[in-house]
Amino acid sequence: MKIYQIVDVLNFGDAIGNDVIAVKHVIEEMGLQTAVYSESIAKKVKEPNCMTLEKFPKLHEDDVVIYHMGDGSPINEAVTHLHCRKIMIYHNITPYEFFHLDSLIAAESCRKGLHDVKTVMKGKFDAYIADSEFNRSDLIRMGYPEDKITVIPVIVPLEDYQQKPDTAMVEKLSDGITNIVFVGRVAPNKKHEDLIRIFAYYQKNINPDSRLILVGSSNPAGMYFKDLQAYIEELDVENVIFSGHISFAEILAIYRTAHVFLCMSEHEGFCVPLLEAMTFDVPIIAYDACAVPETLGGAGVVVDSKNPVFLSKVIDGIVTREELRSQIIQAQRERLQYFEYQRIKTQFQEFLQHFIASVPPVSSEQLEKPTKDFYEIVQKNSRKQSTLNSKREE
Amino acid sequence: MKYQNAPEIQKFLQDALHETKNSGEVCNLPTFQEFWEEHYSAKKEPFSERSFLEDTEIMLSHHQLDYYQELTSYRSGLSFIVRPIKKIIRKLNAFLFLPLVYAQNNTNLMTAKLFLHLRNYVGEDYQGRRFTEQRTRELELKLDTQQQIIQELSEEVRMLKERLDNYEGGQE
Repeated sequence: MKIYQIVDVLNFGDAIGNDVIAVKHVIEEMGLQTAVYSESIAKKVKEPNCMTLEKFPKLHEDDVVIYHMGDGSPINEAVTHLHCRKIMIYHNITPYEFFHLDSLIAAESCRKGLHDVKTVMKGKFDAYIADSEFNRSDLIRMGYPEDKITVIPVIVPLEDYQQKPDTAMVEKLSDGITNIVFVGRVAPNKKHEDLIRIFAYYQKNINPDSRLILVGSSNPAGMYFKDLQAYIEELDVENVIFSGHISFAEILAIYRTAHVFLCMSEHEGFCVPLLEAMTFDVPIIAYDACAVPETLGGAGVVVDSKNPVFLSKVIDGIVTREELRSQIIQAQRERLQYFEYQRIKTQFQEFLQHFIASVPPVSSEQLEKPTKDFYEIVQKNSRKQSTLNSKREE
Repeated sequence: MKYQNAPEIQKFLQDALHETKNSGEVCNLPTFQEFWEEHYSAKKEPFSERSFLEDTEIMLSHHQLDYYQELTSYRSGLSFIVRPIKKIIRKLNAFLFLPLVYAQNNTNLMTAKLFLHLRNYVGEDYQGRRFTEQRTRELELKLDTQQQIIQELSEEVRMLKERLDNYEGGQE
């Protein structure tokens, strides 16, 4: 028996990419054979046994496929044709309306993803894992059977964050200026514009010695990032830093020197950066949307308004009132225990053991049925992908 | 399950909200939406929906390239030699241009599909506004008629009042 994880794109450092690698390690610890297959793999991913989908092997009766669902990939439907036991990990799909501001391709991918999960993928998996209760209710709302959905939070190896941060960056950011931080890719659902507007008001009216650090990659082809830069100019606000793609040690340095983690995102299926901020004892202020309050679980500060005047006062209170700050940090530390690696790992392993024991392997007749669709789509896409990659390299 | 802030955090937020309301401070910074509308919605060139819908219609029916064009020769006398030669050249080059034509056709199809979505969006909006405009016109017409009736009635009232005044004055 072998357990295969399939993901559309295996990125380095994003929530789904990290989850794939973490799940792989957890399965390996169970003594099972496992591998990851993806349409494209970021060059920075150095994990062994991660291959492109064209190398996907012939399946055996007792094999298990875990599919990470998070966008409108062409393989969404193809995976449903595979003859084996299948699990879907549902990471949620961002409503496509958000992306009309940014890129039609991204909007189309989300629209297709939502369509796939509502139609062709429904009922085609033997079990479903949702990262959060929010994702679970999303699946139920779309007609998925409640008894087949298990909530297992994203596995985050928090001990990785104990590594040494980038010293130069720590020194640079420890200059007495208040650091307000947000981590997440530059995408319209993350609402960077709200962060910028709130920060602009805070800097102009309350604390001129402050900076906003926005960590995360941006879509170079999208309009949103360019518009945000123009918006910053329009507001005439200083010290707004887009970090772009930076090293892990530099991210650690930013967390280490952050005074407040501000999140105004309006769509999150889980929001891993909240756990990261908790790990570094950075007080969190977050907008009440989707899975954010659930991940915080009563810790942090959840607000239901984006009024810059109000939020500037909230930021100021947290930055200046030591007692309040310690209270928030204490609550966050307690909450973080819920997401402890060992705990979630055991939860996942128990789920997988139960799944393997309760869902019988496919019969040899079923296995003989052609899975032409899957391999055809994979080949077609890998050709497209390699052309794109070679163009990018040029 | 509804997750709530800790009571002391909730109190802190209430105080901040109270303070915000009492201070009368308002954020006058433009929102991203306002900024966006100012940059992208205010156009110097007027947008013609009719032309857009017409052009898209043409695009939807003419987006595919025909890769086998008819082979001709300017010199009609030599066409029996020129045409087969051209045919051979075409056959020899087919491996080069056919994939390009397929790829271009694919791109064109995608673009046409995109424009179809846009056309539907604009069309929907256009029809909606036409309906509103029609209703507005009907209501304006009704309003005009009502105003005319009011005017006529006011005139009648004025005349009746004049007659009444005359009666009271003992003129009639």
